[in-house]
Amino acid sequence: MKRRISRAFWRSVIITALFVAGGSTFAQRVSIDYWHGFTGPDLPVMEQLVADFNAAHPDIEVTPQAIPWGNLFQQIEPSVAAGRAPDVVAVNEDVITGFIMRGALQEITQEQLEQHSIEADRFYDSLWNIGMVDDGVYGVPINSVMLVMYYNRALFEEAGLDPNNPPQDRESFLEAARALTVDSSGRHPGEEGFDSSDLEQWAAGIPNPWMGGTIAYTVAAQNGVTFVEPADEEFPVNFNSAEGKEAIQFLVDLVTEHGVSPANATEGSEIDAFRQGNAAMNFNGVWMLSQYREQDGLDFDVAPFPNLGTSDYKVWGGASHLALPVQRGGDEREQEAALTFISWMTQPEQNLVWTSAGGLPTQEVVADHPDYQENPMTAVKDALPDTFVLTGFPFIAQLRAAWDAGFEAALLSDKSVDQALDDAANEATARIRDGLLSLPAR
Amino acid sequence: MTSTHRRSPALLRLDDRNPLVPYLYLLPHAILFLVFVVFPIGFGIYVSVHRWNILSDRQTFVGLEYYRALFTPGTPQAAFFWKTLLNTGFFVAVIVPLLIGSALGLALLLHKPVWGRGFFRTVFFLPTILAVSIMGLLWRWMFENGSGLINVILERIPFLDTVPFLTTVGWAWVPIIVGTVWWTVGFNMILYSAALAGIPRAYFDAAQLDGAGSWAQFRFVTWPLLAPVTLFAAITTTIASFQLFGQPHVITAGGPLRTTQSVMMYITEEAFTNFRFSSAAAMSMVFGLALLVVAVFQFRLMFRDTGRGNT
Amino acid sequence: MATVARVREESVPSTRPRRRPRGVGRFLTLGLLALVFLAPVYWMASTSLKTESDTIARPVQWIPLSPTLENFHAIFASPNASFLRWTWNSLFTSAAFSLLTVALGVITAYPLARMRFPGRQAWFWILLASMMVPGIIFLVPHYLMMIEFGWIDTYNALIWPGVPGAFGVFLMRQFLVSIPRELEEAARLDGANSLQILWYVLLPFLIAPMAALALFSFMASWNNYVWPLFVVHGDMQTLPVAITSFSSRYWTAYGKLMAGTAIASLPVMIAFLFAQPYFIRGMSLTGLKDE
Repeated sequence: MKRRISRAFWRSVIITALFVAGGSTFAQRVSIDYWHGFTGPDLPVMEQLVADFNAAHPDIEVTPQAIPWGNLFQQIEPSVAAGRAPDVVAVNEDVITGFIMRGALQEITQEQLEQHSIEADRFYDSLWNIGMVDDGVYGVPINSVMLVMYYNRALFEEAGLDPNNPPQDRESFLEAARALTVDSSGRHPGEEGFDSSDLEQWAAGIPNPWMGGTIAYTVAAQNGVTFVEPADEEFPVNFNSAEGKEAIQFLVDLVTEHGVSPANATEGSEIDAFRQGNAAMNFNGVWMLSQYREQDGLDFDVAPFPNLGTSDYKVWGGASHLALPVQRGGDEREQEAALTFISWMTQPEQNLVWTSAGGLPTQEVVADHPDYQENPMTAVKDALPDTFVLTGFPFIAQLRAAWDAGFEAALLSDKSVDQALDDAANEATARIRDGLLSLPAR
Repeated sequence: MTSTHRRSPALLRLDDRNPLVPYLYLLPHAILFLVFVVFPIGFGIYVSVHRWNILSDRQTFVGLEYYRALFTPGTPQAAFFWKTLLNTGFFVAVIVPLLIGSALGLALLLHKPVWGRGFFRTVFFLPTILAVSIMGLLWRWMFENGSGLINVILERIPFLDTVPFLTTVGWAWVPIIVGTVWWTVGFNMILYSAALAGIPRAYFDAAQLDGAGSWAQFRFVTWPLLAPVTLFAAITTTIASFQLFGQPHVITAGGPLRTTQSVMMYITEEAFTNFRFSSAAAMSMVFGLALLVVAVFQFRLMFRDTGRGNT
Repeated sequence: MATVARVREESVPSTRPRRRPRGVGRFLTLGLLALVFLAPVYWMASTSLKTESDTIARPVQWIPLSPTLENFHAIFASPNASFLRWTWNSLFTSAAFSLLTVALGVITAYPLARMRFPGRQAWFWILLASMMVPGIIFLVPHYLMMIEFGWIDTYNALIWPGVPGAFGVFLMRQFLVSIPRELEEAARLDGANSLQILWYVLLPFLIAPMAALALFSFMASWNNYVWPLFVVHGDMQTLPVAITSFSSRYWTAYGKLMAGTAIASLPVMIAFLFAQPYFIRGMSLTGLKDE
């Protein structure tokens, strides 16, 4: 009898202990999934930030998953529909409005923002507004990027140019470009017998698809092109205006008329050429910084993308926001944990760490921080207020696809500039019409 | 035994004479077959006549809107679908004769004993086991505009210039086609090798006695005897080539100007990037119908062959 | 049986008594072609052992001047290159797919080949006809079904949709049909039931075709590209798909790119060198290509 009692006693003790232990771990630890697309040189920095967050929050376990942006954006809506959405996701400026309007992201209420001390006025307005639709907040800025100009200091000196004073307008750019371009027999553009099809060294290649489209987008914006009339519900496309065509024509002329860019350049071949010292300048995003720093013997610097347009200065900018995908039967505690994570990741301290990967500050406090002044990207800090971010309507990716294709067709001389842009505008219009049909009634 | 026999009707018997037995064997496969083969065909048609939104519970019926768009000039769908279909057709027209010819060539080279024959056969067959992504990455790097091996070699040959293969209209097909031949020629080579080994020596001896040279032997003995294999290889290669996807996806991403984009790539773009599943379903139906014609041909051929107990 | 017999004959040449090597011209042609065939593999290996600066250096380095394992180290050290996980995903789903295909193929082919029952011909024809339906038809509906089932990013999505393909059934039936009836009759007289007959009498004849079917199903699943590209992501990816999304990180870092490609392909190539005889025999046996 006694034995039996003691056995029952121990059994209940063990069960209780297990229950308490198990229960308490469950009660304390919340697991959340975080998907992002920072798969480049910035990945280790992102992983480190998540590890730091986990260390600082014993009650939350964030599992990060790095997925290339394109795949990530394909995956968000299906995962929401399948009820397998992550708790936090990073989305870019050209798709976030679409996701919001199609109902894939949930609103972060004013109450939640306050509770988690996510203060809107801390961030640059232009960045913060990207995450908003109809006064509702859906995303918090975590990353800000820009198109910049990398240039080879040694080649500048060789050509008799001042490496501390890179070209910043159309005139000085063309002048420098001619000086920096040399064919295989040592001639410069404009000289007798110059052969633009056999370049030994050149100024800056104008590549096709996406990066070329981004450059063309910048010059068009510098010509005053707005791409669509965002105030209008139908989002009429206006990039095939005279200003838009002038911008494209100028870039095409760099190849065909001025001979300062090789034909058939690609983003990749231009990166290689810049690393090899064949291209004196390279237009790319801030994120290329670390790869160029790794190149042996490459003496380069960073400057704002020059004003190659005819109107006010503008430059392509992009941003990533942290957002909450819609959950099926959402768990309150997971949502709270997700907001805690978003808040922590977007604090000035973390943003300062993030800028070491090339990303620009999302808030003024960081831009003014003494530690940030060491960062080579401070050279382009002044251009930040002039970034032209196309956002606020749901079909930016579709519009950009049509624009990029139009620019490519013009650059490869497949079509005349007029024809290419008119066709692109028609395509963009058709895609936006398709897209409007796909929106749920609001 | 006899009593059970009398008492229970056939359908309740627990032994092999129960007429339900064959159906029980068929059942597991049949369930999966209905769920993953029969149902999706109907479901695909259903999706293609709605405006499918995966985030919505109610789908709008739109009739033949997406089919009509494919046949209405001026819509992006019509423009890109037919363009990419033509691209695919071009690829098939080039790659099928190439794959047949080079496979036969390799098989003939390897037919008679030669030093290192086993090694050569292994080398030519080796690429076939690689995934398409591996093959694509290898050839993208080989044909890279700046530092790829091909251009590095071209640079050194006098009077030849480097070619920006990956971004020049027309040239962009070269890496895809070269890569595909490299990747798949081993299959048809093995088919031909097996068939060549099956030709009795006496045929060649007889031809030789008649004074036939090696070309005549090939033309009048080998080639006719290989006809069934050639037909089989041509049809399987055609079907496989119409499904072109991975090579351009990895090597050129369909560029420049969508000139190397295959129709499969465009359908997946429409579905997974543009979220227009219904439009993609409609395109799949149209493209699938075209493929079906080829498939029926293959099917009849295979069936005729299997009827003879011979492949 | 004719097929089996012919296959034996076909696999003979390699074991034929060696003759004196002939045809220097042919040997040289083959040698040159072999060089061309091996060039991409060599170029991959060579690039993977160079520093990033050397990969694009001029003059070109045919052999790495300062060989380094730095690229391999960088890949294994990076937190998001789960090569082991991706390999496991591929191994597991391909093995499961292959086993299911063979098991279902045999069980389904058995009554179709060796029993008489109403609807047998009709069902066989339906299965056969389904083989003609082009795969593209299934892409969108299967994907939407995976969403409904909640199977996005799961092994289920990689395994099940392809399993009921009729090819395995068709192939197994062809071999089952050709086994002499007398063997089965004898077993039946001894009191064996249908399952015992399948297991003890028929299966021994099916070992070779089953192995071939298993091998090619495995390869087909392993090399599948379009479906896993869209239906699974991140840690759930299969190796061939993961290597492309992995490559998007290193698209201009050729050393690391080729190191990753080498990691993903060398084990497969080595496995092939050991299993090569089975491949070629299996291909002749089933008369199929790996598609």
